[in-house]
Amino acid sequence: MTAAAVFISICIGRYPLTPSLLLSGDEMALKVFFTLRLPRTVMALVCGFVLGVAGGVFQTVFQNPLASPDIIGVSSGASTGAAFAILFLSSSAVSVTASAFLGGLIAVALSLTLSSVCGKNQLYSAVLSGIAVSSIAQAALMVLKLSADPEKQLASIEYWIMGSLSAVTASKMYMPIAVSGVCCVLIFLLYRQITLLSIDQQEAGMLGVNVSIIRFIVLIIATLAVTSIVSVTGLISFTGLLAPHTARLITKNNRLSTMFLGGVIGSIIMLVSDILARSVASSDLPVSIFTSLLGAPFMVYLILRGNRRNVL
Amino acid sequence: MCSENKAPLFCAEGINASYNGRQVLFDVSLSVEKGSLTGLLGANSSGKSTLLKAICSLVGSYKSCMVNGQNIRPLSNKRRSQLISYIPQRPSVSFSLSVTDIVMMGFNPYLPILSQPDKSMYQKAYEALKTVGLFERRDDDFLSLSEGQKQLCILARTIVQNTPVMLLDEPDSALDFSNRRLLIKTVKSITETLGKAAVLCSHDPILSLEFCDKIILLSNGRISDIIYPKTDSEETLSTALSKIYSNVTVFRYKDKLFMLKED
Repeated sequence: MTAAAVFISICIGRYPLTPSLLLSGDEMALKVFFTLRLPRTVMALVCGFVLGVAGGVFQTVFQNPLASPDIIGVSSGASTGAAFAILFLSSSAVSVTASAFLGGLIAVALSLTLSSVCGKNQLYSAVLSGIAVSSIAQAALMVLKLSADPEKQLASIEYWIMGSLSAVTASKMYMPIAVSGVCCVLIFLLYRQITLLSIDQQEAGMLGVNVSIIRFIVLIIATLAVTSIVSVTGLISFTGLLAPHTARLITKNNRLSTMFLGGVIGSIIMLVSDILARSVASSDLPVSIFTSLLGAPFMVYLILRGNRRNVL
Repeated sequence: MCSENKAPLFCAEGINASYNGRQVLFDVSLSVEKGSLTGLLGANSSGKSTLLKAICSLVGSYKSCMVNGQNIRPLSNKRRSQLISYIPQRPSVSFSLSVTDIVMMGFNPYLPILSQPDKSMYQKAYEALKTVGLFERRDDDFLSLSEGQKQLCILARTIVQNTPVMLLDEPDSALDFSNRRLLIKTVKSITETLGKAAVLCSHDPILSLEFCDKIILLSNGRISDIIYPKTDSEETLSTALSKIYSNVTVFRYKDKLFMLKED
């Protein structure tokens, strides 16, 4: 299914590509393939994979089936960082990406620091700190939007928040792929510790887990992976929630292979959503429209299912 | 107590604990011999669970806490979990994991952070599951087990954790009669055959009288008595238990001790 989605993603677009056209050595076709279509497809694959894996990490660590990177303020921080760059630095991809990356990291560092000084139950205080930091970041974002030029800057901010892969080029891919690749490897290596974080923190402590430190490390790694991706693509809704759950529905367990499958499913969701985003209208639409259209009904299903079986 | 010539496997002195400014444990000391099962009885809010948590360094403080003559205070979390294991009242697992995965968690104190368990560890986990009678369910979802089976699975995890001291905080509270006996018999067997020391916090004095070598009676955060069911007379046991449960009589029937409450 992933291979089929990759094939369609490469072929579909404003300039349609076919295997015969590429094999014939058509210069224009090769240029479109290497500079636009391949980077975009690879980015969709990586983006979906990272969001799927990170979503699984957040759901496990927070023992909450509806947890996602947003829970500790990644998205709000990245949005505010991007808006700050659009308003005060420049709308260039580099400055927006760097600022969004920093914004996401600052928000998460702030919420984790707050949680470590507030209360003994750091799981709940991390969630509460995340809500507080998200609210502050949202307030800052609103102030930035109010002071933005409605013709150009406000539109750029809104478009960034809605997420899109349309601006992805080969040069923009290296940093997020390298950072998120290292983070994913670390997450897989730490999988046993992540599973131990899914039980009560005192019980985990009696099994030799240094809960506060391991949780901090795992969340920072997962956050770094997500932030490196969304700083390039803008916010992507629901993929991090949808993919791990779909993987668990298929495998009926929470093994390492399930976490990997969550990543693969995330890749498929992103590829399909991106194909739809560039093919249903004459211009590119934000990809979050389609990830949300897929994700929202699934979330309702999860809530209904949760009434019957209150497990992850 | 900890400095006696014949040092016990485990001993703790001067345990104090408070919740929200209210002191719940007052300078409690206890010791447990190798190969023995020690019961901890007391009414609700007498401080039983708090005492176990204080030993685990989760609440309160203590003057000294020794396992095999080694002070555990300066030890890291990991090293401490190689010496003391803890079974909570109810397992906190809310995540779909297989029975084997849960048991394998018991090896964590012995594994470097990024390492994975090897085949011999899986074999040990299967042996532990056989001990508690759950080998056939090894691939099942932990959440699909009955409450009794879940506690037995956690006991299997404690077996592989292989600590000299086992602390059990009312592990039988959600179990039916048969499973309750099975769990305590298994704990008793492990302590005797593997030379461990176990402290069992319970609300079942009759089972405690049957299986425990020693019972510490806790009242309002202080030790009111220590009784030895195998050697103490029924009168001594009745007097001590009456301080906790008021007007109870301990009697022997078919070589087993029973307790009746006189209303």
